[in-house]
Amino acid sequence: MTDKIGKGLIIFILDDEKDTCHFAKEFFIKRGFEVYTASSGKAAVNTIKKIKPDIALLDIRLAEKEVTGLDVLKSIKEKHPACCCVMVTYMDDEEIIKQAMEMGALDYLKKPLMPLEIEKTIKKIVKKIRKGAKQNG
Amino acid sequence: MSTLKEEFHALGNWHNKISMGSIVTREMLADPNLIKLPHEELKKIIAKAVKTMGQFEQFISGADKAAEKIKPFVYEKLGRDTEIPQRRDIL
Repeated sequence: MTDKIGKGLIIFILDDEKDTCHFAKEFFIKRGFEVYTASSGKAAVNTIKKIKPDIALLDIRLAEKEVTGLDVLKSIKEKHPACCCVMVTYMDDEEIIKQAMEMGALDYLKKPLMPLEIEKTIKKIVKKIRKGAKQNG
Repeated sequence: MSTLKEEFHALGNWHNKISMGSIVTREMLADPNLIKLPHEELKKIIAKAVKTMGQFEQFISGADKAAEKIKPFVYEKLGRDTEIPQRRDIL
């Protein structure tokens, strides 16, 4: 049985592969999150104007080059500075990961996404969010 | 023509779909409450799992095609049978 670790939290997922968005959405719904997805940078920027995500899972490399994962990260950090952003990337993206971390990303995950790694990273972030909420009363 | 990086990206995307899809499907079928569901609900879940299995076939085929596109990049540098770097790379 899966723990509802995400109860009361909003997660936003950006991935240009619609199937990946669909599976990721099911994965996080099962864990109690309210989930929003976007499959392009432009759509992501529009979505984050309407929601206030606690966590964002952002694919760095998008097919559409106009608005990149880093642009979306920048946009989220401007609008929702408290949002915990996790970049999703490939093995050869070290430079971009470094850039993303400097821009305020909290962590990163490498594709293909493996259940134990996602679970571990997300649990760590949820713990940090809940701890912050407790301290703020 | 696509670059090697783009082909690895494509291969990674196919793997990612298989990886995420299999987690979600396994969790859906492993749910201990599944057997308590009404017959019609159960049928829907099984149909969903079967549909995802069908998608896996497409994803595997996509990954295979991406791997095929990577081969020429590799064999241009490495002897297909000997697995030794091609002479022009040593010189």
